[in-house]
Amino acid sequence: MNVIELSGVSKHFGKIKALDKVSLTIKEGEILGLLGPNGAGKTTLISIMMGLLSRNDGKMTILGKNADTSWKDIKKNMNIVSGFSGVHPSMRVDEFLRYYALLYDIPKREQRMKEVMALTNISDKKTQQVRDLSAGYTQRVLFAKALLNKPKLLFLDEPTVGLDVEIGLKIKALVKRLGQEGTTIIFTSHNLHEVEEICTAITLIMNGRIKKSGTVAEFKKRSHKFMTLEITCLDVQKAAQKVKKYAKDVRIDGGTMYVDTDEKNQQAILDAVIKSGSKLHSFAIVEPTLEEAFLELVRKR
Amino acid sequence: MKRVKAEIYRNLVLMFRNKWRLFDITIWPLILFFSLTLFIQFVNPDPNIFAVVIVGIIGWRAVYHMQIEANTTFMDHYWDKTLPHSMASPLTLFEMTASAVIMGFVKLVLVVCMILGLSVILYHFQIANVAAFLIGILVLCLAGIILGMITFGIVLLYNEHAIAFSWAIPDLVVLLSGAYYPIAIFPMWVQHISALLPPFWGFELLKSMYGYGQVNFPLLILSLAVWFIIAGIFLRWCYRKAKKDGRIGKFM
Repeated sequence: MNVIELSGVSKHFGKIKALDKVSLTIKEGEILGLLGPNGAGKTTLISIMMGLLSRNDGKMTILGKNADTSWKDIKKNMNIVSGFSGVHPSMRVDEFLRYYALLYDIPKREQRMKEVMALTNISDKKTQQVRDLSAGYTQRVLFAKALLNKPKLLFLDEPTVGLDVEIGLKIKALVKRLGQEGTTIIFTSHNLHEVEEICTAITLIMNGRIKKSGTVAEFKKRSHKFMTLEITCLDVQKAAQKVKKYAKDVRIDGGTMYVDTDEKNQQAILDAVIKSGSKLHSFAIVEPTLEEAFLELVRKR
Repeated sequence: MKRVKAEIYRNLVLMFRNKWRLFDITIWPLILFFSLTLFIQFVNPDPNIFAVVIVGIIGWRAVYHMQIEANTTFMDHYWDKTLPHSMASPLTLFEMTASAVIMGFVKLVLVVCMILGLSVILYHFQIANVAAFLIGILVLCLAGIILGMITFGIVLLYNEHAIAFSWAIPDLVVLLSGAYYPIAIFPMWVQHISALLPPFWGFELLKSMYGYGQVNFPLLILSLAVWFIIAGIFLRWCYRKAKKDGRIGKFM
């Protein structure tokens, strides 16, 4: 089942085109990383999908319902954590959660509050005012709030911004777990390692248009013009001389040689190393990181 | 109804957690009450004028409390950066406004009890006609809701920039509506404007208990109905415009 279907969605603010005929399909259980440089249109797109911003054109179906007529039903089944949003600081954690439990009309409210506090490890902070909590705990309170209604669709907008490594890891583990349990998640972050680690699919948006969509593996492969080979052998200096003519660049680091080359030259390089008599130990293709793939795509624009 | 209850719960927690907010239903009404009644006592007028001032104070608070709540309800979300959470939840604009109306009414009841109690104890004040008093306060409550809807719309569009304006509007309207005096003291062109304002008929009704106002019930009802429709359309338009301009989802 498709949880989100956008077709030709456009949005402009005066003369500025923030989104230009965006079409996007997100499947149930997918953790979609929405990437793009600043000002690309990510927040605009998310805001439209959450019903916080109206669109100028296009069709939108969310959770199988027409977004023009069924917002109230849609909103009951979605939730949000945003790294830039806040909490009511003078409310206690349990009061904050009770307020949202009432808003979402959660059955067995107190029980569910206990469950989400346990899930996010904030049970011991239950009676503390939110203003007395650290940024990490505050973010966990927001996660607890977002889990109250067992959302089918969860928007995570920079949820780990400003958090220390340990809390960030806990939150990432929680997001992965939610994805495994079938929650569809739309995740935005400027931390591409995080996106690579968590997301099952990626959509790159630039200048208000979808530039690329696919799985993380497809995304990295398609974007990589040249491959990098990692070769270890007995005499790397000697082998380097032989492979130079097939390579765009050759770097030596101790007993390892890194060769940037075109895909078609892979076999020729392997042959050249063997013929050089340098006694080949290992030969591997180095996968580009998502960050490298992202930068390559962004710089191409 | 659950979501209205949720908003009321949040409002109550925020009010009792932040004790300064209680000034709104204690210190400020008392300052208004004593500053005017002490002055009137000093001037020593006709007892009916004294009574007009007291019902005027109560009427003014009625407009104020019913107007201000819708704005503060929204601005609390704005100031605390929780707008994306509340606006992405199933909470509707109507439910938010309804909760504000209930909160405003509860506060108003407390303030009216306090002012009436003091007036009776200190000045032997008497309500000349309980039915007229209750209808007058009800009319002013409705006028406050109308003003609240209009200023809420402006706050939706301009957020914190409109706060000072939205705070000042009801005071200006009440002033022009003749809270403690007949509007005959204004120039004729101002009188025409005053007669069109929603609180005008409410104050006329309150003053009429003491022989200082005249009520035209068909005009009173017509005025409220027309203003309700205008305010409803305006608020809806502002909400749509704010949603179009991205002001609803601020702090995303």
